[in-house]
Amino acid sequence: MNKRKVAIVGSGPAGLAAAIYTSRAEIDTVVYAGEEPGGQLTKTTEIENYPGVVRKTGPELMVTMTQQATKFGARIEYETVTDLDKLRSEYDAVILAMGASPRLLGIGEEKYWGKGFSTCAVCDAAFYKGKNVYVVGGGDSAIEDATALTKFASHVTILVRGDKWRASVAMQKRLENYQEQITVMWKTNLKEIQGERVEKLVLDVDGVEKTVEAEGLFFAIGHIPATGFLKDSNVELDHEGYILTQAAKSLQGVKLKVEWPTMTNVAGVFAAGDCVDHRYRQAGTAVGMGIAAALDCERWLNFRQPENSENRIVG
Amino acid sequence: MAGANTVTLTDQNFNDQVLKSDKPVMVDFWATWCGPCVMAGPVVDELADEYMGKVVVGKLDVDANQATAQRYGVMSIPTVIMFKDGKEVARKVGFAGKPMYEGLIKQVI
Repeated sequence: MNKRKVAIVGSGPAGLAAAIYTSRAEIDTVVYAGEEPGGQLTKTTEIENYPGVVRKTGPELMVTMTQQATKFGARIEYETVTDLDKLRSEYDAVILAMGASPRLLGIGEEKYWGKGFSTCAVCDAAFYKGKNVYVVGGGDSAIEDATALTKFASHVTILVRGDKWRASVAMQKRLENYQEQITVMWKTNLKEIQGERVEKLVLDVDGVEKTVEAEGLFFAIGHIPATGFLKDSNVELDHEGYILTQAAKSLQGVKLKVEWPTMTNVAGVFAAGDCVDHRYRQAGTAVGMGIAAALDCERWLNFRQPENSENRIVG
Repeated sequence: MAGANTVTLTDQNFNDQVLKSDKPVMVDFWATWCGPCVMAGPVVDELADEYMGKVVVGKLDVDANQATAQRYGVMSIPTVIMFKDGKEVARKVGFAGKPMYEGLIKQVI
């Protein structure tokens, strides 16, 4: 009997949850961990709202999830998938769970990676001891980054594009304890970075250009789905690049018979987590979607291969 | 945190283990509080096993060994620097998968 094989693309909560379920169902499972093993949670600090886990760091949670998946036999390959068709030719089914990557502004910031520019304040804050740093963003992660930086930096300025926070009330409250160390500049856009490394920032403050000295620059302006490599595939994406599963299409009001909610328009290709979901984007919801994709995938494999039906696991 | 074939590097042993090494040395600058570093750690250990005898693979905790991290201007981790004959020959900031680190190794062997 040919063993059923599934490839999972991505190693965040969605991918690993799927891997735990498929490998435990004795499906040969390979997880392609990609460029950021463990995903976005590895760039956070404390996790307090993941049910059943009172307090753990993001990396701890992801190390545990990885161990749980490998315990059931899932293999982790530290490679980045670039060709879906090749993967489909090697596996019976594919679960896409690439998540999302930090959004950039496209003002030449890439050449400052490791030279004063970062999208992971939690990772790099300690290198900015006594330095004057800036954070771009107006959401939860901007405040999380700014507060993480206060432990080391001499001063932190948050540049917010609009005139109010997008951040949750809880995070805004957290900011009240940092009035000395954190300044907020509203209606401010970053236009240009100057220097060999980050030295000066050219800002547009409510229509007025202003140049400030800076020793560090952190972006926290959200994420974009990591679906770039699917552009040449047949998998249907929405205009922002999120994967359209049957459930996602049905939610948009497209009338279709939803047979496999987590399946894409390509048979045997499922999707879960932040590469599908632009609404909730929580570790918990990603885990739920990953499990749903794994169960759909398992049942689809059984349905497709009736000779294996004695292995069928219900419920 | 190091695998059996991964050398634990410090400010004290860096000169002997890296700069005076007769083999190329790949150094992974990391820290316990850096999530991406912790997750990428097993890859470095895998490479240490696979290229044993050809390349020395070491990990340097930037918290405990700030002098070396500063000397090489490490401002973001993970940073991997490849040394040959005591000199830096290649550097990669941020983890971008095993093939990328393998590429650094293949440049020097």
